[in-house]
Amino acid sequence: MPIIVLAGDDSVFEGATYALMLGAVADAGADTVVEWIVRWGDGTTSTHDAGGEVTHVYANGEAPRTIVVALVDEDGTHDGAGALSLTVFDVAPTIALAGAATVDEGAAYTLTLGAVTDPGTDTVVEWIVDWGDGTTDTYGAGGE
Amino acid sequence: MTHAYADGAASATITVALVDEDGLHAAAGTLGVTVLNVAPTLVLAGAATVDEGGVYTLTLGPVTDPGADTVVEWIRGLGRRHDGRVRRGGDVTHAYADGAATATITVALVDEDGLHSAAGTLGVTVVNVAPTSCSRVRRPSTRVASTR
Repeated sequence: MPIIVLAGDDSVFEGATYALMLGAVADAGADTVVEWIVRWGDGTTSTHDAGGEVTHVYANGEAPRTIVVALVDEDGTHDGAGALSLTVFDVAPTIALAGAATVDEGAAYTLTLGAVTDPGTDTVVEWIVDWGDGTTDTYGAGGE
Repeated sequence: MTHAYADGAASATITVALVDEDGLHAAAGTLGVTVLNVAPTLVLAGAATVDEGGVYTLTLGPVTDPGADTVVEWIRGLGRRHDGRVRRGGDVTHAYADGAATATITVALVDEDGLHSAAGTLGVTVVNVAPTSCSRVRRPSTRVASTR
């Protein structure tokens, strides 16, 4: 059964590109690898007809992931020829805020809770607004 | 989302935190806002006319201020200069020396945010009073009685 050397960072941020090096294959027999099957550990699989660097984007963190590589040669598919563990980190979301620069005391100030930017597939469920005057309000949706 | 800032002048920084599957993310967004002070206004009440030399009563009525400010001084001007300062509202009096004239009463207010001129104004007509005949009666001369 062939063995493959894998190399890559031990962590990556969600939404960022992770690079995996499909390295040297060691096989006691005179077999030729024709297909590299990478199971990224998040339910996705990619197939490659050569070694070298391959990339993947993990959609969401924070999560531990184990990459497992299978090799295909004349003798068939060899699962678990190589494995590598990494951590996918969460990235904090940011929000665009809009509102007037000034407001009269006692008058209603309108704040727009705008677009949330998050490289991960996270869903904001609560918006907590600290108005800067000692009061805080919590909302279940964005908008105006 | 709306909010009323109770008092200005002040600067505030709005900070928004977001909660998602991964927990609480503080300071996901910030926005600065300047809260402006609004000058107070004052209700003045008093008669439309007053006789010259008579006592005119001016009522320093309710103060309206959208902010959380407290008036500490009422300054009454009568068109020429500030001639009356009081520490509370209510009735104040003044005698207009001469008519016929029109006067505009102007009241300024002082609170934590400073002096607010012309917070209230009120016009008043000072009516001339005709001299009465008895004021023209001459007193008997004492010289006549003099023995010198």
